[in-house]
Amino acid sequence: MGIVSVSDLDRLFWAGRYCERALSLYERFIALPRNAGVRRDFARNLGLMCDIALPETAILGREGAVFSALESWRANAAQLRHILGTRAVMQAEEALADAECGSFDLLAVRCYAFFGMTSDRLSDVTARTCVEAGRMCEKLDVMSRLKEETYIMEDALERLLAAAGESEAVKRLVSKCAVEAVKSDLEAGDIEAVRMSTPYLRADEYYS
Amino acid sequence: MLPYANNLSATSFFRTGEIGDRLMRAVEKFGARFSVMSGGEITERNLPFDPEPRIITADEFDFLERGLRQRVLALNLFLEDVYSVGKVFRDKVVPEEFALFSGGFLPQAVGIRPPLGIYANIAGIDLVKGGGKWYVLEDNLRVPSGVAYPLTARRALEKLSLNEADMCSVGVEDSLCYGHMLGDMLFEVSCGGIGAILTTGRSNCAYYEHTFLAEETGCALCEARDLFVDDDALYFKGADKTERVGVLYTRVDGVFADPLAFGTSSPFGVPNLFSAYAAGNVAVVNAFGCGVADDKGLYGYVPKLIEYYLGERAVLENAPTYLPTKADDMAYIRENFSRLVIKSVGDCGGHGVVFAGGLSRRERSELLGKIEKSPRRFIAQEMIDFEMLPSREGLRKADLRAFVVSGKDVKVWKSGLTRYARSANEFIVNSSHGGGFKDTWVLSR
Repeated sequence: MGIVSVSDLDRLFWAGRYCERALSLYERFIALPRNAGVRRDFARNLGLMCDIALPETAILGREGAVFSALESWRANAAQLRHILGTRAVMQAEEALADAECGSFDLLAVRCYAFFGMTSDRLSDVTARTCVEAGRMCEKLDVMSRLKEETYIMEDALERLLAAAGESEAVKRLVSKCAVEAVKSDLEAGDIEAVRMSTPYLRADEYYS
Repeated sequence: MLPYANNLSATSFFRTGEIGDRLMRAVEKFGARFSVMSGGEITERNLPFDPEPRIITADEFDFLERGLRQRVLALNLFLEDVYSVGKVFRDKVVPEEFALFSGGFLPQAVGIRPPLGIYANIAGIDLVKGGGKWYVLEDNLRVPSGVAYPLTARRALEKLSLNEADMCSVGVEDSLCYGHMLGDMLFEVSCGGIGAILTTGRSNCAYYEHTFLAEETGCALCEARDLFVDDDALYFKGADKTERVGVLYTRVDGVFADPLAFGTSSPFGVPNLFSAYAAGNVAVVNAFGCGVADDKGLYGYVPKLIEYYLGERAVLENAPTYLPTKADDMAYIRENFSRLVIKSVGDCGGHGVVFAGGLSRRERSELLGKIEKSPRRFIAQEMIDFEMLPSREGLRKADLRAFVVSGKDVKVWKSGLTRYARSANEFIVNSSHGGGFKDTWVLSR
C-alpha cells in the first residue's frame, strides 16, 4: 500500500467507527434479558425513539440503529477498496446483505474479520491506527451512553491515546480537546460528561 | 487459461442452474454498483448482471483483435497528426472543420506530444453483431468505462469455480490480467513518480470501477483536492508525505480535469494540471484532446483514416453512416428518415440517440429541421438489427465494449463488457438506460 490521502484516513476512521457501532450495539442488545422495559431503556439510552416502535425494531429493524451503522460501514469501506482490498470490503457487503434478510448470526464474525483484515493489510501505521482510533471513539461513545463501568472505558481511552501516540496524523484527526475532556471526565467518574465529550473528527482542517 | 466450461452449451447451465444464482449473489457481494446522482443525493444500485456469459470463439476474437488494433492505431496516429502538422487536413482526408469545430478539439494541446506519442492509451470500442457480421458503433476515447464489471464477474466465478472442477475441459482466456495490462501501460508512459487515478468521488456513476482499478493496479486513488501542481509538476498530498505523480489516469473528462486551462469552473479538476502535462512532467491518461477522435462526426471517416495512415483496408466495418454536412447524405437522410437512427455527436451513454421510426410525424419533422439547421451536430445511421443473447429474462439485444490498451504495444483485452437491454424490444443497452451486463468469454485455442 502506497500513499494514503487525508480523505482515506477520514474514511478509515469512520469505517472502524461504524463497524464497531454495529458490533457493539448488536452484541449488547442480544445479551439483554427478554424484558420489554430493559430493552426500551437500552434503546432510549442510545437516543432512539421507542414510543411508537418496539425496541427490537429500533435496534435491529430495517431503519434501526444496527442496520444504519452497517450501511454507513459499507459506504465507507466501499470507498477504501483500493487500500483495504475487495475481501475486506466484502465483509461489510455481506453483513449488510445478511441484515437485509434479517440475519445477524455472522455479524460479529464479519466485523472481527474486517478489523483483522485491515490490521493485516494496512502496512501504513497511520492508516492502521485510524481504524483503531475510530473503534475506540465509538466504544467510548456507546459505553458512555449506556453508562457502563468506567474501568472498561478507561481501557478504550488508553487504546485511543496509544493510537494517537503512534501517529501525528491521527492526533490531528481526533480532537485533542475532546480526548482531554474524556480523560478528565472519566477520572472524575462523570459518565454523562464523558458522553458529551465523545471525540469527533476535524478532517476538513487539512484542506484549509 | 481458466478451465471453466466443458463446452459451449455448458454456459446455459448458468441460466438455469444453481451456480448462476450463486454467481449473481457473489457479484453483488463484490459491491459492483452504479451510482446515480439525483436531486443532490447519491443513490447506488446494483448493476443488473446476467450470469450466462457471452462466448466468443478464438477465431472470431482473432478477427476482432486485428480490427481493433488497426482502428486504435489509426485513431492515435490521427490524434498525433491533428495536434502536430495536420497533414490529414492538407491531404483532404478529413475536412479540417471537423476537427476545429469539434467539442473535443483542444487548441491548447496543439504542439504538445504526450509520452510515446499516444493520446488514447485506453480505448473502449462499442461493437454489435448483426447478420453474422461485427460492426463498430462507437469509439470511446475520452473516459471509456465498464471494464470492472466483467472483471468482477470473473473474479466472483473464479471463487465459485474452485469447487466446480467437473465443469472444466475447454479453456477460456484469462481476463484477470487486465490490471497488469493497465499497470504496465501506466508504468511505460510515466514521467517518473507514483501512479494515481483521479476520481470525482462517490457521485461518479463509475466510482466502483475507480476503486476497483486502483486496487488492481496499485495506483493511489485521489480526488482533485488531494493533488496540486507546483513548478509545473504534479504532487499527491498524502496525510504524512507528499509524492510526485508521474502518471495520472484521469476519470474526469479532458476539459474538466483542469478548470484554469479550459475555463470550466470544474470542482473536479486540478488547477494547472495542463501546464504540468505540457511541460512533460506528468503523463495524463487519456491525454488531453482525445475527444476530437471520439466525436461521432469523425466516426464515419475512420475507415478512410485506416487506409490513410496504415495503407490497409479496415478489418471492422462501421455501421452505414450518413453525414448531414454532405449534400448526398442529407438527401438520403431526408428520403429514408423514418428507418434511420439519429445520433447527436456530442452525447454519450445512450443519450441523444433517437430512432426516427418511433417518432410521430410532427416530431420527425422537428428533428429533421434541427438537423438541417445544425448538420454538424448530428449523424444518421442505418439501424442494425443486432444479435440477441440469451439471458435469464429471455432473449435480449446485446453489444460488446472491447478495451484496447496502448503503451509500447497495442494490446486488446481478451474479454469485454457485454451489455444487454432489459426489455425485449429495447435497442439501447447502456447502464444509464437500465441495461445489464454479462461477462465475455474468449475461448482459447
